[in-house]
Amino acid sequence: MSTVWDRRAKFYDLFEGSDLRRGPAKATLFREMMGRVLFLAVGTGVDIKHFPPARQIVAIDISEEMLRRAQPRRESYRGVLNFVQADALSLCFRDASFDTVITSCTMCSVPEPVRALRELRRVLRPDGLLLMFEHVRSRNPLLGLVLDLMTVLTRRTGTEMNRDTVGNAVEAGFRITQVESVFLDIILSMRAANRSLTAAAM
Amino acid sequence: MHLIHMLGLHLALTLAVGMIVAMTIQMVLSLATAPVLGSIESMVPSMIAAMIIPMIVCLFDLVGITMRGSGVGALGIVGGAASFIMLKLYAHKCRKCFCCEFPQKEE
Repeated sequence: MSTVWDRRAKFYDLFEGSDLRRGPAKATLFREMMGRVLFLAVGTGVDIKHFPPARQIVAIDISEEMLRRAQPRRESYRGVLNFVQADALSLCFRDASFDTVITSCTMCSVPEPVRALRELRRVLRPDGLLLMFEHVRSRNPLLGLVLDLMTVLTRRTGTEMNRDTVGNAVEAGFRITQVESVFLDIILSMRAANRSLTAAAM
Repeated sequence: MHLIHMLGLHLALTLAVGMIVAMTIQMVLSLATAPVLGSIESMVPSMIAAMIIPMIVCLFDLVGITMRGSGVGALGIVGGAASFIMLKLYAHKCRKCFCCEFPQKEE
């Protein structure tokens, strides 16, 4: 898996660096990061410019090459930003060690998304916040079909365009508190809370 | 699709092959705009246009209207504009739906 992303690192900025539509939505979402933050799949660091200043962030990625390319952006961040090469499926962090966990176009690429989300829930504090900027399968049948067809091609490069990330987050034990449309019902900005906390509060 | 149609294949085969060729071309073209618009934002509308417009060409042929190159070009422009409007309306609907489902931020 890391080899695929090492190869994709060369073209990552070209195809995923567009900020025309995504930039403002990411900046709004990331503004909510607080406390100790875990940022999943930082890639070449295209999202770092949207991080609010003076935060304490640990950013991970499975690809060593991605992290190498992200270094100049890390140095430009006005806050604490540390990189760790890690797999989302088995995080090397203690239980409940983060106040905020953020994913940005990650859940399309993780081989077992529900397992990864459960792992995120493990490292997130019970009163912590999960912020997700993700693309998902559209609920519209025609758009859904298009994304299914595109997945036939994109799966080879490690990306699935037709995942139900909202459903996966619920299955992993999160409670979705807000979903905003960034592009149709395909690119979404989501906020989620730990369901166990909600149950405990009731 | 028009070029595939000129090969005189069976209608179902023309539709399938034509759509695959059109979608592949559209995908490659949309990759060119991806650095500006974003990969998904450029690819999805392109693919919609590449699916629907070839189908219309075949549908016309079924009812006995064989289109020429200029007609197919005009249909492409009209179909592209229609896809754009349809997606704009759908985007509006999506925003409204999510606002209804998740009415306020949780503090």
